[in-house]
Amino acid sequence: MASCGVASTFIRRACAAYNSHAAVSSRQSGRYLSTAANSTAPPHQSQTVESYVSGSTTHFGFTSVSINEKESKVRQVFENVADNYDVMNDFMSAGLHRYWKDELLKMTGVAPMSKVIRRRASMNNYESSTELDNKRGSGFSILDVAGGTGDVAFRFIDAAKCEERAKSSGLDEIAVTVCDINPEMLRVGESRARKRFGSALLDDTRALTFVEGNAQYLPFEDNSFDLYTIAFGLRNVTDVDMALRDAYRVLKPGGRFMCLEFSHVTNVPLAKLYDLYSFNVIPQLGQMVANDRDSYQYLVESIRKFCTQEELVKRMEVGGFEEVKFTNMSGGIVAVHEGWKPL
Amino acid sequence: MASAMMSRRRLSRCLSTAISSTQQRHLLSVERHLPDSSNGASIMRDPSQPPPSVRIVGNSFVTQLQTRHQSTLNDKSNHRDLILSHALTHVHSEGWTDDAIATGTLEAGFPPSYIGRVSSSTSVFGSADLVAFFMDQCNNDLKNELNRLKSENTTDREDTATRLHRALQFRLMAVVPFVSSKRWHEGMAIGALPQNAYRTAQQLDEMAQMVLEYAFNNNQGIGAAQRAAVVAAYAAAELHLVSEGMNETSRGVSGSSISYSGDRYASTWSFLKERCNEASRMLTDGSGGLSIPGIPLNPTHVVAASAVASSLVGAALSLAAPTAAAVVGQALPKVMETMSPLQSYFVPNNSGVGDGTRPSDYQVDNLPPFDSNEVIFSEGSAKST
Repeated sequence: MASCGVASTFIRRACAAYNSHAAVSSRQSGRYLSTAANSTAPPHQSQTVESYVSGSTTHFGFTSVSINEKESKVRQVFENVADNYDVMNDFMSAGLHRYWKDELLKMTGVAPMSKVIRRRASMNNYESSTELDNKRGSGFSILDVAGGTGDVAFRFIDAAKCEERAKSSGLDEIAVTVCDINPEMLRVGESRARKRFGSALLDDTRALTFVEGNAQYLPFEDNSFDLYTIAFGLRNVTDVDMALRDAYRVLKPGGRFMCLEFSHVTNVPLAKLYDLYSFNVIPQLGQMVANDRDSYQYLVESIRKFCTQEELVKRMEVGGFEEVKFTNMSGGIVAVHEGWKPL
Repeated sequence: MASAMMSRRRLSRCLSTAISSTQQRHLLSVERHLPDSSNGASIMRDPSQPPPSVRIVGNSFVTQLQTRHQSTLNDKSNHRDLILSHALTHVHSEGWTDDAIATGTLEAGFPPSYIGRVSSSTSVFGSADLVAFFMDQCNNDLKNELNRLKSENTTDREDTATRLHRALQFRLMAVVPFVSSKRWHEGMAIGALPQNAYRTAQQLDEMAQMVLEYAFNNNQGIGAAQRAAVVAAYAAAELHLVSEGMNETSRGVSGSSISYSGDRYASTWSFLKERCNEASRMLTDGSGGLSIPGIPLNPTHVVAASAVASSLVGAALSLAAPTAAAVVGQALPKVMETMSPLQSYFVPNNSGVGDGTRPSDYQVDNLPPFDSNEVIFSEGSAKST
């Protein structure tokens, strides 16, 4: 995992920069990433929306913490829950999170698109020998941010039939990169992946890679990905605006941003029931199953403090995305927000 | 890149050999210039190469692309239309599927992530979008063709039945390629699924309105009942066409076996002629004008027409897939419950409704069981008995 080392060095540098300047613009942070950052800065929009982080404090659940503190606190939460993360998801959402992630997968179109890309690639091979770089260039590269345990990434791998592809040689045309700030979650994800798909998929065809990185300063070059997904991760990022700007930066022109996140229930009776469940049942479950009430209390509170559907749409538009829209699921308990980087 | 160019060449070659001379005038070569982007747009094509020249085939592209192409490509509907236009050319081989849409996305020169641009409020880029888009195209073509015919003023000497026949035949010609590739029955079934039925009905209604305006040279007195009569005639002929296409001994689906001329469906065209004669007799008063709405139609005609239109749904479905038919079999009684009041609206004195179709007629689960001794599948039943 040489890339992990590079990534953590990078994060340390980026964090140092962030701590010394309270409001680092994406252009400035881009200096640490690549020389071409300036050319892809999102266009300035006339819309105004209050910046996600202002002043020296931000929210951590219902409590107020200093900006510098939030990241380490969130990191702590996920280190605590890493091993039981997926089990707890099932408990808390009564299995619904599987349905939500499946829906997200359907919306991405990874299954039909990979099929066509593979067919084209095999025709390409037949006609002319293309260099590996070109092959990657005409493929489909997906970045799953905050996807540590690989729950969403594995769905992409299955849909794109990467396991089947790993039986033949050469780089896979479909590349899924899992990026997470938390090495613990990545460790769980990677060992699950090796167990489930075998090591060829990770080492030979490199269809799946795990990279440690912060959503606010992604350790990737500009214009690298066709699809950026972040499932149940955006609300844990200290500065959502900055994460959106960096998502815009790493996406290729025409690339698609998709965020699956807990949102705000619009139906009043359902909202009351939902509140009752989240504040009473979930922390209790956390206590019983993972012996960690506080972490789950945070998860519940952070959902309430996160943007509403409309607010996130505005933030994405300000971030430069076009055709921004959201789709509510289960009455708004979660929502998928999507937008495209202009061609 | 090479493969993209080659497949494009192959596509245009096979289509141009298959297309009849009447449709060749619709060939359109469109130079598509994507906005220049420094690096990322190289996903699908080599930036050092000139922008691809996309040869797009089919009459509908004339209207869609000529008008829209001058406008900016950043227009969302334009992206969607371009993708779906390209996807339609793959329906023959891949069906009305998201695979066809994925192929269309790449072939239109867009990055893979653009597949999501085709999603609509009712579906995630699926078959329904493709079918609805195709039917919109057909209606657009029909509109242009009828306007052209009107402006040429060649129709004055002809009677209503001939004009009806000409218009409906033109409309049916649009589906001929898909009938010969054995894909249109699937398209009809998808259009008739409960979630899509409303849109399909609207599209057929628009079509009927255009046809009537052309056939009667005015738009006075065209009501829902008249349109229903035209839709019924069209639907009957469409079913005839599909079943004729099914009986064809085709060598499977390939570029050269797709018929664009419709010559081989002679019996459908004579069937259509009969239906047009009937419809024109039903719709015209003694002086040759369109009969006045409200009084003119025999109530049983209207009831019969709507019954034909609704039975079309079942027929198309059973042609397509038994499972789909079973699903819709459950839904149809509910649909008919809402349709019955509509029928009585068209027939003010209620005199004909009692004779018409009732919701219970669509209840398909209480059919008598099959005779177990009856030999249906020779091999299977031989083993079981």
